[in-house]
Amino acid sequence: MTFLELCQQLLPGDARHAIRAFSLEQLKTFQQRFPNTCTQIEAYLQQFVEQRGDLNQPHWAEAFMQYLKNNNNLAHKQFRLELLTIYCLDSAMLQKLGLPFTPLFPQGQTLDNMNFEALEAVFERGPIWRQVD
Amino acid sequence: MDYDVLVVGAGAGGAAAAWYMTKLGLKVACIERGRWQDPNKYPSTGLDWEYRKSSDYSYNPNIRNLPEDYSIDCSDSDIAIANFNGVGGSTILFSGHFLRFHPSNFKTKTLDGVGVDWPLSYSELEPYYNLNDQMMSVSGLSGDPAYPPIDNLLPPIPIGQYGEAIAKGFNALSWHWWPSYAAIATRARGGQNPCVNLGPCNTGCPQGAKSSVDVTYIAQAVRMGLTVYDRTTVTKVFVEEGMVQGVHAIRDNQAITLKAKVVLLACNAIGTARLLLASKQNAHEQGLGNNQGLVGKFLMLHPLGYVEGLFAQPTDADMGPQGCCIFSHQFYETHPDNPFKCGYTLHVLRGGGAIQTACGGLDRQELKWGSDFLAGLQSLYNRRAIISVICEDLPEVGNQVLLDDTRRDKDGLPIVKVKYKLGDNSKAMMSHGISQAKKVLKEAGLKSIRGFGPVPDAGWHQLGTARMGVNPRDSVTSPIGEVHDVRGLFVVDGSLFPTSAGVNPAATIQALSLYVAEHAAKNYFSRGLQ
Repeated sequence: MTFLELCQQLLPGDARHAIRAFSLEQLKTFQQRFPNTCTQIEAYLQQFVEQRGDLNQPHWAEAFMQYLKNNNNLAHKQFRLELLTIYCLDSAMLQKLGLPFTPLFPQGQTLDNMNFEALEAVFERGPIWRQVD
Repeated sequence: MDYDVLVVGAGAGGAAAAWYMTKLGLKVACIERGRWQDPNKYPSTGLDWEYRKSSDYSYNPNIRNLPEDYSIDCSDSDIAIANFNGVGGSTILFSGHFLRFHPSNFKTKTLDGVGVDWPLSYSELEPYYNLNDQMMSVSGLSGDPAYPPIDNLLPPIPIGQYGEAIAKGFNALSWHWWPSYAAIATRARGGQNPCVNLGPCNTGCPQGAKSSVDVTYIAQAVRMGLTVYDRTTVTKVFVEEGMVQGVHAIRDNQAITLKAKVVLLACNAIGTARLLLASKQNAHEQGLGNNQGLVGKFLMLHPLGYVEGLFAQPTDADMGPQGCCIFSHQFYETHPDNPFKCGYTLHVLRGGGAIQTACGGLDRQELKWGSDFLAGLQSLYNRRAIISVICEDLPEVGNQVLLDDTRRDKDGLPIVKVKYKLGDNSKAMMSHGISQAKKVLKEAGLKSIRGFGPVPDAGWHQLGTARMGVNPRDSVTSPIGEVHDVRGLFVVDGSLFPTSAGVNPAATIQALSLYVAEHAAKNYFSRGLQ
């Protein structure tokens, strides 16, 4: 099993929302940006394959992630973060979540103004701090 | 090079003191091991901000591992230390949540029989809190029944649908809640732009709305003549005949010496203790201020609990300043019904981005890899509520900062080690706080509610390792922050705190820094601000 196959099993996309699977192009970005992780995960993948043998199981990728977590949780978390980072840089993916597909700055976000009436009961209950002077 | 005042550290406390001294017309230099920050490069200017929050802008120095960082051995600590080294210090990454102490926090020994009393009161510190609020563009709402009057605030950060939904939970229980006090400009002010609700304040604010001290105190002080030595690491404070003389430092791999009449230390409770202990010299064989063996002792860290839940429908939970929404002091004051002394803040936080939501969902097994990943993420994003429980930490002598003389860092300083265990009072308090926070979320209609603590990597608030006091036998500095056995050497950071209270400490660190600076200026330069 290859690194690309692992990533595509974990993130196969969503046909209903026309979101593609983790792609070869994204793999290249991953390898450029996080080469050490690629090497490390490939090594663990090889160990996993040697130990588990037959990988024609429907959820082998999830089983691998559990294996990785059990053996090296730090590497597991780092790989997960980097995989999702590369995947989420796909603007179509972010748009499906209702996220802007531009950096947060400078657009920002708008929040509703507060309903101050909700504070009246708090105010009316009076002071709750201890006077000490 | 000779100065009137040297300030070591350009974070919350150092910047306030440097500004004060510079405003008096003194010749002041601020020395900072980190570098000036470029807001154009802050993570939220790019799409990969969440990744960078866990790498070059991580709050864990051992992960960040930048040239200006020093490793901190937390292997014997229940809580890992969080900080940031740069001009602005940890205010570059802080969330801006900006609560004051309560008056009772200054008298825990007299009132509750625990901890020690401060050598000053809330009313004595109040003018400095007020000045600091203006300098830090603090926003909030006057009239809060949890505090003595606090006025002249900018309008509060909007709490959004999310905040209003959680507030309903507090109201159903008839518990106190209030919009957060925030060191975030909600209107254009003094060179700062108004907040535009980017979200991740704790990766730096490219908008310039969050009041990190590089855009507030330091910016003003530089215009008045402050010199800033960035990328400069102080290795030793040197003293002659009981009087501070200056510091030795390293800059661009060159040793330099800076002299001054007054030196103010502001390296946070880890860094300041480290520097005092490392400054061994004649007549100070145990380090400076350490004749009683108290430097580094009584470390306090604000153990943190987290309670989370899910809304049935999306809100704006993941939008807006992540650390500033609403808070509650319902259980802040000591109460006879509680199985602990002192109390805690219930602090409502906002969520993170898509990746943080996904990772959390995978950890909790609410989300699975594979073809349902996106649908699963959509069911979680913008729906998570978080309440943190900020517990007052009592001073315990065994919680401490030590130097490991067998190991040296790249600057030749001994490696610093933190020994910290949660005390029984903190454990009882945290358990209570988690239980009460769950009630709030339940009343607010959330599901899948869970709580845990202590959060292991939440050592942002480092306090107490050079505590102030009246009696030199149980304190490191005098009531005005001057190191007992070294004239002209002061501390202006959270190391001074005899007790921790149950709130974010930045507002009190800065108010206290202004207080100490004023006394130092009066005593050594016969100057002061009106």
